[in-house]
Amino acid sequence: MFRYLVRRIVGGVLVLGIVSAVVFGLFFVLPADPARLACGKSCTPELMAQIRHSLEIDQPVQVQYARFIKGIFKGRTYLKGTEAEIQCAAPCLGYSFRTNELVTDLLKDRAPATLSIAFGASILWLLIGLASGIISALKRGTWIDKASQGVALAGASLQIYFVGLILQFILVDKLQWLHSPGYVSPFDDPKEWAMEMALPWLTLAFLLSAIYARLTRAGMLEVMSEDYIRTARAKGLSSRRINFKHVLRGAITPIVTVFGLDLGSLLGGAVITEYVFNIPGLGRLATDAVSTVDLPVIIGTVLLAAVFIVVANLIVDFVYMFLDPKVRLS
Amino acid sequence: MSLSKKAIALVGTLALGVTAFVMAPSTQAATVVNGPAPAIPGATKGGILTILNQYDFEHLDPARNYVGSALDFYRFFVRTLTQYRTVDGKTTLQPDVAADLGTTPDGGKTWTFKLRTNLKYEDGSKVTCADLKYGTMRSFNDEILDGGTTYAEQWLLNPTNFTGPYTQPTGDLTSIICSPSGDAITYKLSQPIPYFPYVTTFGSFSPVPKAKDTKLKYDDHPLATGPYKIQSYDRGKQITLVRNQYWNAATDPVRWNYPDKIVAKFGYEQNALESLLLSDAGAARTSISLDTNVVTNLPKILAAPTKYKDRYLSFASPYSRHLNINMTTITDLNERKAIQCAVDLKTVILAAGGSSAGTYSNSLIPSSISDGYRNFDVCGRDVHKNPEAQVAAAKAFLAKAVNPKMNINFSYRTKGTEPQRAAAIQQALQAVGFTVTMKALSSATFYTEIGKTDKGVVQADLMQTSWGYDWAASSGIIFALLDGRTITPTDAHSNYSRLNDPALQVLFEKADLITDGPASDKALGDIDQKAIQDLAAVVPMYFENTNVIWGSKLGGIHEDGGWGTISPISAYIKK
Repeated sequence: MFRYLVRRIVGGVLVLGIVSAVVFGLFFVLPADPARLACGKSCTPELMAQIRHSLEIDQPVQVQYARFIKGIFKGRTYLKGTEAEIQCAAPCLGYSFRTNELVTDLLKDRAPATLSIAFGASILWLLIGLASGIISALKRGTWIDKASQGVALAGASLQIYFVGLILQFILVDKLQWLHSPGYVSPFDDPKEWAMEMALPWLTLAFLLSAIYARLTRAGMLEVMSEDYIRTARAKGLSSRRINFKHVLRGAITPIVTVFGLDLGSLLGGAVITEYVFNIPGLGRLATDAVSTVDLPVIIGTVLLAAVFIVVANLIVDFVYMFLDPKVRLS
Repeated sequence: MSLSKKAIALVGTLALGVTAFVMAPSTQAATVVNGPAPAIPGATKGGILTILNQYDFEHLDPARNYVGSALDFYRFFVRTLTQYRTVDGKTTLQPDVAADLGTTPDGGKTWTFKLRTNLKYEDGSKVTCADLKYGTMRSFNDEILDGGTTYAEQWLLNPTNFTGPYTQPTGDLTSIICSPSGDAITYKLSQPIPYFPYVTTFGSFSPVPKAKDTKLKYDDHPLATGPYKIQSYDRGKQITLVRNQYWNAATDPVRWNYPDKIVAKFGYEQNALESLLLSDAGAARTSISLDTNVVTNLPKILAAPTKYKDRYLSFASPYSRHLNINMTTITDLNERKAIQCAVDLKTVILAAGGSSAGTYSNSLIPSSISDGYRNFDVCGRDVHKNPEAQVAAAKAFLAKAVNPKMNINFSYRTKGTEPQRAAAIQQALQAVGFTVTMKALSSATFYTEIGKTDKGVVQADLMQTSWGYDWAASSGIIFALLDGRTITPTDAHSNYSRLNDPALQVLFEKADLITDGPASDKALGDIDQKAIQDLAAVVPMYFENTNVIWGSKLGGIHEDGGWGTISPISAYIKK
């Protein structure tokens, strides 16, 4: 187990290294010039050259990348030798000259909103998806099954920017049942936090539970036809025990895989969700950084998203081990 | 700014944005002007003004500010040497930290302003002449404090090659001189700038105490001298302003302080914001957006003018959209006139979003600058009445042209509706016989690319550009866009037409010496007319319309003729 863990961690670090190098490289292929954007309206070639020097983007890409990697382990100083020197302690993911903040501080500031969306919505979509799928499987062929699958199909077909705006118009603007979406820390005002998160949670739950409902239904129907289930029934076990202890457990493995991937990518930044509902999370930070060509923030958000996905995959592997004794980590 | 008849017909009984800029005659320049600003009828103190924006302000550091909506917003807490004030639809230049609009004994090379000596920051400390000087000095480090204007660097004498206090901590800018008592400040310029009091409306002419300069962090919390101060600023999310107890209305002819608090929130999506403001529900009733031009819901508003008349405004912004014709590659005057005639302004505006997207223009000077603007014909017709292409006239000019360049390349930005407008222009030109090769460039590189004049660079023949004046006078437009002296061997700067006509340059040199505002506007208006009508250097197309809606409990919202934006500076919450 320990060796497996070490191997996975080393592999994860390698993945992050490759991701950071690719993002760096791609950035330099793009025609956008952050110095030009920062330079403003009355830009001159001389001023642009000075800004490029301040932003440290007048160096070759490999030098810039090496400084970035060094900064992660040893820290870094920006605008060295001037009165405006900035210290960035390790792990230094860079400094955003656009927002005048250290990238690590920006990520720490934005992460709670994204975590709130991701965990709240995931609990809801999992509960709704599993419940809907279980009911559909148990009531196969009935109007309940058909209705449930119809709703699931709608959820799978629609897009968040459509559903989100419609729900906002109805629930917030017209009926005023919910508050305008936003983010308030749950430690400051838990009730307001829940009221402002409710709409993004409900929207994501409606859209994403569809896949889980269909996966659960399909998985359960497959397992229900297995011989060991027939044996369990013949032995006189209760339906409840058969369905939840044996059928659902047998069907849950692909659901865990999908859940891990969905949660991992949502943690990395629910870009469209945050944009539609004006939640100041990591996704919003990433899109703003792309539009303003803020390279340090772009790299920071991409790396963090990669970390979440790597960790999520690792957790999924461990959960498999507990769910299915036949699976071994080797 | 007066709307065209077409726009007036369109908006019906809705509030019309009518703002004129009144230039201060030079004889009034030395008069001391004190506050308070004239009371807004019906306004009372109290309540919370909410601003809902799609984007955070780029910068709040006065030295880094060059965006209209931010330049307007930060007036709540930043005072500059001079500033604009709009009351009853009239915008005037006012002394702000200065007590007067300055005097010049030598045609604009030296300017002296009396200063108010009783101003305080939010922490109770006094505003001094040295602070004003330091505020300008730190703007010289524009490689660190980027994004702002560079006029101070460009025009202040700099005999010691001062590069800024961050790189030369012991250096000095000797062209800014404080009087011994600190009640006056003198600026020595490298050339006569008769409109210098307009330039000092920018943030690089605002006071910053050296001991409290937090360098890059100053962008998060400039020390307030205005009626409000920053209570908290969460970048990208929210900024909260509360009353500045040390602001004295009697010292300020520019500002008001009706709301108790101002909260600006960022990150809203365009359509969600339009719906929210239109719904006028809950907190939206005391809200406005400073960066949302109503688009999707505009037909709904126009269909119910009475319902929205007290909380909707449509006005022609100072943002001119025009075509620059490269005079170094299209050298034949008749060919340039043919292009002017061929462009169909009606299809251009439709491509921009419909007839309410803009007001047709014949000039680079907006009609709000009344001393500079004149409604001259372009291609022999009044474009406001006949915006359609004049195909016959275009072909006639082409027939007179000697070896016209019929394969032309056309550069435009991939931003907003610019590609659609460019397509409309291409179609119109092809209809008279041109072959147009389109070159799309990204926002980040567009102006750099089209400005290149280096030998060997393939220059664009046509360029779709825009311009928003830096100050509400012809001098904020014409010198930048049409003066041949701005062209260098490598860069045309903002004179994308590469206009450098000897007769016109004589007029520019004469205009340099005019210190009287209205006379300056008139002289530059003459140049504008000659450049467009006689030399066909530019095809004016339209001034962008701004359509803004706000909550029903907000009063005092107006179009600011200085920054050309919707302004909440005199906003109040209705009881």
